Amino acid sequence: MRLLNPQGVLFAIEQIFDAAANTSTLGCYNLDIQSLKKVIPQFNANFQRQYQRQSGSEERLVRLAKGFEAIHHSLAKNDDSETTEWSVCNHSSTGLMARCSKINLPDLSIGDFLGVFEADLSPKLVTIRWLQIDNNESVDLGLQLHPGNPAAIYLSPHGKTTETKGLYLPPIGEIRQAQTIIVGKGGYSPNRTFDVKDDEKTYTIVTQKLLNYSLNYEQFNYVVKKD
Amino acid sequence: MLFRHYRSSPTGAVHELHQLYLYCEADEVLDKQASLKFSSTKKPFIHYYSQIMLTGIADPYSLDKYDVFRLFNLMAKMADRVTITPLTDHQKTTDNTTVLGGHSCLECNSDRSRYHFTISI
Repeated sequence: MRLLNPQGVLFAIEQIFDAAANTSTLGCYNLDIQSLKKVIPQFNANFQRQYQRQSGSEERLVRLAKGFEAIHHSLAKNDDSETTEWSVCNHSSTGLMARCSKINLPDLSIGDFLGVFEADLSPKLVTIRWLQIDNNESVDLGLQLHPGNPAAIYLSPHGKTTETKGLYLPPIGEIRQAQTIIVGKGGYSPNRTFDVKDDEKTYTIVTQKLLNYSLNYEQFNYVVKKD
Repeated sequence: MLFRHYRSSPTGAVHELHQLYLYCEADEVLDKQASLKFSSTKKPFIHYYSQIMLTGIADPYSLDKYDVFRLFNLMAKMADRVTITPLTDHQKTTDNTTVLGGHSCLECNSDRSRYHFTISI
């Protein structure tokens, strides 16, 4: 057994950060900085799991829908034809680890947005945080839960009939987050007025801040416009 | 390339790398470049070993595909900054992980790259 001391690496990273902050080299290190920010916690080696993982004694199966369109379809039509079956290895209050055989799987990447559908439970939204394919072609995913249970909605620019798909997330008191909407990439712009249609009613909203985004979705908050 | 496609390393590959490290360490050639009749390595074994271990420690399975290439190249620049040492008798027997906190442990008899010692709070 050997000990690897990464202090020299942390010092070198600090020097890169200092150089990046220097106005004469501004912009030269941008991509390196983005990568290094992600790996510093690993080199600090003081990571501690904050949420306890739990493994169930019985096999727990979930269906995962990849991408905004497939999630919306599964929610709106209550149909699992665009999902694949995964088994849950463990879970916590903030996420889960799922496993599946690689055969017939869609191409997956870090940051992908997925819907989780499980018998007798409300659907959830998750983001892929890590991904590993082992030598037996088994795929393991680390998934971070988005708080709240999503619902399928349709948005139209105010006064127009063109519809785009969206996902409604209810307010979450614990993290003091108001209700939000998730749309496909490019669907958000600030201060736009939309007519929103869900299962029961139609109402008008004005978009506010962009809260989260990735390559395939944008999440924003909004205010409901009174008539 | 393995990390870019989120693949595990082939069975036995990491173990073999650890074993090569131990052989080089025993022969005191870790920091010497190998030289053959027609070619020689650009860097000593310890450089490549450290670069691969650092990339593994950085958790490449949680990075975007193209970040992994950038990370691997960055780790080449930093590989000579790490120190790898055998555990002392005190470190082997200590119950207090604070002594080992901040280090990564390379299990040279295993087929995995490392695990962290965490600091007990």
